[in-house]
Amino acid sequence: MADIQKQFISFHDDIKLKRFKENKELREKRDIITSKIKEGVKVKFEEREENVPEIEFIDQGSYAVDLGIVPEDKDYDIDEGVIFNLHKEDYPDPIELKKIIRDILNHHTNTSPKIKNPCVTITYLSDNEPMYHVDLPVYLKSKYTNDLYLAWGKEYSSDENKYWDTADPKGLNEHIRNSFTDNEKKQFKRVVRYMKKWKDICFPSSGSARPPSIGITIAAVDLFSYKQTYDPITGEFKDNDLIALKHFVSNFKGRFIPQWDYGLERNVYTVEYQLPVQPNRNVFSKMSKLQMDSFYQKLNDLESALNEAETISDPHDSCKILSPKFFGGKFPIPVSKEARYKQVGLSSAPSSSSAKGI
Amino acid sequence: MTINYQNLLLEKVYLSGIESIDSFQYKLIFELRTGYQIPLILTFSPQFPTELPIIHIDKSSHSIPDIPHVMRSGLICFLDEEGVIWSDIPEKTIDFVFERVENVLISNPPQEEYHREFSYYFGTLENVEFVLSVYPPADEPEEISVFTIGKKAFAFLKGDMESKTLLGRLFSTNIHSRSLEKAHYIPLEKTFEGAVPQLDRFWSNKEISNIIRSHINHKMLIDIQKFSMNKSKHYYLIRIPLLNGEQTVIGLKYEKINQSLSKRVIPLIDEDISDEFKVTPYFVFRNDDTTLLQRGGGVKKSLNILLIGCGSIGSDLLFILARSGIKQFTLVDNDELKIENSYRHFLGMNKSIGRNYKVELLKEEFEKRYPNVKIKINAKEAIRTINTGKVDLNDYDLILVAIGNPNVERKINRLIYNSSTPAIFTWVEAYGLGGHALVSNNGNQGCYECLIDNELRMYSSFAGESDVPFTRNMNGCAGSFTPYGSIDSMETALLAARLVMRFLEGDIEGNPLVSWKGSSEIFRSEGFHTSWRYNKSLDSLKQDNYDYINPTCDICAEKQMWSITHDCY
Repeated sequence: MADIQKQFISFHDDIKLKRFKENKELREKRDIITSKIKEGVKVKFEEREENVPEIEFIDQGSYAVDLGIVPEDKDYDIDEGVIFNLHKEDYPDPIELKKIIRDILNHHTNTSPKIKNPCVTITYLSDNEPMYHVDLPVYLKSKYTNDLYLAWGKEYSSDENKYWDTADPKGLNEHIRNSFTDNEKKQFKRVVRYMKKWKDICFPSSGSARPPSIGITIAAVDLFSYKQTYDPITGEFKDNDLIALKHFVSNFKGRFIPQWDYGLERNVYTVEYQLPVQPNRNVFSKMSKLQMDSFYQKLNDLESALNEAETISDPHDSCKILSPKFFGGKFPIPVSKEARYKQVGLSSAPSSSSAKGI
Repeated sequence: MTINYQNLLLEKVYLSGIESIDSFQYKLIFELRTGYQIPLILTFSPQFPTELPIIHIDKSSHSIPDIPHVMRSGLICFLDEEGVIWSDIPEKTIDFVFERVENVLISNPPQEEYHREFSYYFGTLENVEFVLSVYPPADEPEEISVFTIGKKAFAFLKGDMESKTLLGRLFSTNIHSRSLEKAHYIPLEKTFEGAVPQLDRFWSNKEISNIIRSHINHKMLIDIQKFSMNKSKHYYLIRIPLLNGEQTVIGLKYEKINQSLSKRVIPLIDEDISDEFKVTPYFVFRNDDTTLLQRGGGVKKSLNILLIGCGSIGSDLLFILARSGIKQFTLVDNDELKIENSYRHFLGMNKSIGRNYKVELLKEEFEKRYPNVKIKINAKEAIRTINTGKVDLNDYDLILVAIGNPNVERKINRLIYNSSTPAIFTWVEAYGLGGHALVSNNGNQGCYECLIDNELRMYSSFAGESDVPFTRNMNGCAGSFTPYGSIDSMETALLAARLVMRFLEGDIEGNPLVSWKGSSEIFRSEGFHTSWRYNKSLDSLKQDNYDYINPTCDICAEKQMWSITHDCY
């Protein structure tokens, strides 16, 4: 059985995105935006001679739960929820507050902020390349419940596409953060990051063919289990990310349900995973049946590769199965036996006797 | 040739922290390709690179892993030498060694692979003793006998007249009832799935009793209880079904340490008292009848022969030549005749009891049989014997080399080329594929070195390339040895003997290679394949072959050049 734990760890060190705590630059960008919003809201509401609402910010997404990976396209993604202490009953048009946010940040960057369905997006460019973007979902409260409501819809969406829907960003963060502790948590995070990297490598760069990261994360919270194996050389048990990853992938595969497709004359595999917090909808709902099926096939390929990598005892051959095909070029491949011990198979009868040390 | 060992090690990127303990011993850190760094102690042999260095895990800074091929002392058994040729260029030898060491440390093959080699690994046990068995293993447990002399057991047998007679013939002695003790044969019912004992890792007494109890039925358990009652020594012959579907037979001897212990205890199955006994594992040789082939020509001239290597081929060769009338021999071999290597040996098993040097036993035997024959002996390692001048190659008319270790033979070939004495090398291939004899240093080009190509393959080989050495299971023993039968070694001895006769007649031109080939059926059935040369006809293989000669061989080509240039002066 291959021992490629060191290679997995080094791969992880390479793809891991630092958290806010450790990433001063991004933290400063976030703080500039949040204080600008606070000030802007104050100005806007004072102009409208209304009471200035309290605003709370919440870190969301992979930064908040420390599951980020360095993006392939270098377009870093910050999710920062804006919670107004206002009631949705007073704001029947969910776009109103999104427009306020957009206007406040209008000249903050060279590209104009965009109102997207679930958020307002601000894009930072460097040499005309997006360097990172900040997604700002906007939440309100309700007079009648304790829930938070997310503002859905674009500026010119039809009325039925503009609505408030329950959401629980704090609950989601906690669900993920509290799922594991200590070394289990560390391996859980690594496995999620490996999966995200695999997704970057093995799926087209955008669109709904890509399984959403939150889906993978939710599945991992449910299906991941901590794996250690006995290391005969040291006589100790140590983390085995290869086995943990393989175990997760095959469990995940097991959650797909085959359905006979009469048109294709074969089984098509689909998957559902409920968001563990409100609004509890299927996190894979944006994917079509065929996209889910292709997701399944790719998981299957990954599982076979991990199985094969596990059975091979040579670390070079083992890593070569995974890199670059499944995890990209950042997954290190140790030198081959032939390259390291290259002297072994070479000529044993050199013409010059000096080479023999005689 | 002096080698700077330290520089040799410093050149390797995978080694670090090299610290010299003395001029032959070094501490170093070896980085495996998994990224793990392991501290080792490497000890060079003065014969390096002909002999490989010894490698231990450095106990002072690392625990000793419980993995196959690593002894509890930390010694890494990274190679079964026989059948493998390694480069004799020091830089490459080091790479070769560390590739093998790494392989021991990182490869983690499934249990079944060890089961396939059960006998081999069992034979490497430190405290193992070797016994013969003429008992055909049955499917039911039964009481059998064991033939002992003094405290030593020699053979398991059924105990009836026929078995006694057969055994008596093998050991050239009468088997009296007083030299027979009771033994119990136990065929395990269930397949054993555990680890195969090897080196210094034998089962603990507790483990044995667990294995026995969990692999037999209740009736057998009662049988064992009945049998074992009231005995101070207990002998068992145990048949074990293995994971690969085969069965192996091992023996065990239990001796009471604590004499005050009740006679009613049964150490094999009672794990609480099992540590009150000393257990000796027996490697069991199952008996086959061996046949002696007798042939011989007639020698007219007197000839003084140096025979290096007195194993099965060497001893047979000596026998044929002595019977052919050659009277003067010097024998060099540092091996003792043991029960495990006496099997195909000319001297036979009865001579193995004293564990004397083969050369001593041969001298005694031949001078008794053929009063005219004069034999000088040297029970030292061959290269050392030549290097130290104990034996001067120039004193002989002909040198015969039958060591069966290509690395040593390469070195000896080199030494022979420093002398003026012609030589004949002879060796046999695994699984009865065939055998070879090669004349060397007989004028013109062509020598042992020519046979070995740049990829370290042997021109003559009938065995195709394989990653696995052909030193597999058959009658495995404490050291590894190439599996071939008595007839094969004798056939090879004959091939070489004919060359000697031709040499005597002055009938050999230059340095021909001759070969015989046998059946490849067993070899192929083991999953190996044969070489292109094996496909040649038997006739053409027996004819003198000069195609193997390497015109740029740095041993014989250089000597040719040397003699040509000297002729000019």
